[in-house]
Amino acid sequence: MTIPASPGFPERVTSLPVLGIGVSTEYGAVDAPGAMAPLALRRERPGFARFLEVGVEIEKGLDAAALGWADAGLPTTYHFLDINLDEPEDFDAPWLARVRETAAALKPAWLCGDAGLWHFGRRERGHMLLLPPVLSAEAATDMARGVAGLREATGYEVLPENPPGEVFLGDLHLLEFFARVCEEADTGMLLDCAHLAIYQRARGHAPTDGLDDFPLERLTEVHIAGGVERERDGFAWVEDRHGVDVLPDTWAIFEAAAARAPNLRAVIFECERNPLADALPGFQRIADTLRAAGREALL
Amino acid sequence: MSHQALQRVIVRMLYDPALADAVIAAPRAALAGVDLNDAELGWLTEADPRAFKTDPYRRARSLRALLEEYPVSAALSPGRPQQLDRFFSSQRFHAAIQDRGSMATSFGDWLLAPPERRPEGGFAHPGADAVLQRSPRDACALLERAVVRARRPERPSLPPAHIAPAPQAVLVRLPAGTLAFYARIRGQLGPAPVAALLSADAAVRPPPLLRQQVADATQEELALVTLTDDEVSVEVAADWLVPLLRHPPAPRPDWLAAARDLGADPGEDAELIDDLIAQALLISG
Repeated sequence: MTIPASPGFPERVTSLPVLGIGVSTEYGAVDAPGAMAPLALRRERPGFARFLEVGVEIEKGLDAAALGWADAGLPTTYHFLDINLDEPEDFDAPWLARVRETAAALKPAWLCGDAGLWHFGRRERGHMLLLPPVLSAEAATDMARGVAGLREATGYEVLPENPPGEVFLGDLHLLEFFARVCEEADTGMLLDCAHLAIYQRARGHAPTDGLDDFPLERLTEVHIAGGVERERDGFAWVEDRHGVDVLPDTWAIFEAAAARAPNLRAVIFECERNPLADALPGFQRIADTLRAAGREALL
Repeated sequence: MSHQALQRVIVRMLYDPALADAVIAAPRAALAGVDLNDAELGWLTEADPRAFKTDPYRRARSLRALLEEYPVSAALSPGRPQQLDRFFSSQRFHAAIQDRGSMATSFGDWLLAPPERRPEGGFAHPGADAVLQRSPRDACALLERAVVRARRPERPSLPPAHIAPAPQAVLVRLPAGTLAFYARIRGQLGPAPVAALLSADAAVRPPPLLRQQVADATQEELALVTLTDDEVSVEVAADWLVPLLRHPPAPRPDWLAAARDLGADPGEDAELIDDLIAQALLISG
């Protein structure tokens, strides 16, 4: 008897839906002063809100905006905000059970989220933060094990995302690290163009350095978001603000990805706490970039 | 998995600028006892120390979260909140991060630590297990740490048909009068205790008589802290209940026997144990 090999990601990705351009949310984001309502964006510009990426911290649950979208049967992705993928202790049974319940409510196309340190210690009040992983081969292997474990535990594809940060330690380039994670977990990737721009600037690289060596066929989703340049005691960095003013470095990375990632299926403009009118130019530039790259399927 | 140890070091450096400077200057000395290899230590020394200091409000945000859990202890602490900020430079904080512990539990331990390790103290430390002669502030810290523990239950692994005290039901020994004293101070802090604690003109007025009763207590009171549906309740533990909440995990027949030892008749024993399970005071495997 031969046991058929389970399909690899190159086969699996073909069955993932093409979601196009979407918008992000997380618990309470719509309550920020002047913040857009995802359904209002969809009514006004349906092409800019073809799906909703729902940031989920299990402890907080889903807010009315996310539930309303899901209840309308509209497409979603599930962006986790509370799992340290490289920590086996984090995969506790009660948390996994609630992830499955939440996914059942959202019916997401896939799970995704920053592959970094979401909290130190256990999930507790006051423990939340977001740090990038240590960029080493050992950490990549542990991260890949977590990605595969979460995929197995939930039945959904799990796309790791490169996190932001001010401190990046390790001997691998960030894209080399995630190439290893994707290869070892046999998964796709969510490339956050703003986060990559932060990393490249922090390490003195040009915006698209490393993309040539990255397996771009694994790139399934990208994020675009505005950032703010900061300076303190002579130290300069970019803060990830999910604003509408996207830095040129971020656009440069997105343009490269849009042109060269054959399996790209989803693009999110992370601007959930901004007024709708302020966000429209950013959405428009995303659409224009995709059109220029010949990616009509995403429009 | 030393990359995880390294990441926890990064968290500690983000919270404690003095540690960041010490690590970058001499990592092996500053991180004695932490399992990092030479390459990882080298990466730390290559980092720009200013990168660890971009968020000047990190400690303040975390302290706010802790004040929510220790409002009365904080209100009774001299020099708050500045003195309480020292927690983030303490050994207890660093150990909690490095060992994947709880920051809130560790904060309670720090509040109750000997005064020589907490320069802002000024109260007599009565010893780790002693309850009497605790200062009123310490008595309240004992209570609030028990609440913190009840909110973070760690369910034990139980064999089938075994029963154990529920981890969200915490017994805590206090100097007599603590619960009444605590309730008065908590009431003074109002519905938004953290805002009250952080306002410049906020000052609690410990009722002198109650304060003295706690300080001079020669008797203990045993409080039961329980968490049910995210609601915490605190009450004086009923005498008959205490032996059951201190009972080690055991097969069900042992629990029925314990109930009969407390005076339950055959038939009532099962009813009592099942009722305590229903009330989430006991758990069954």
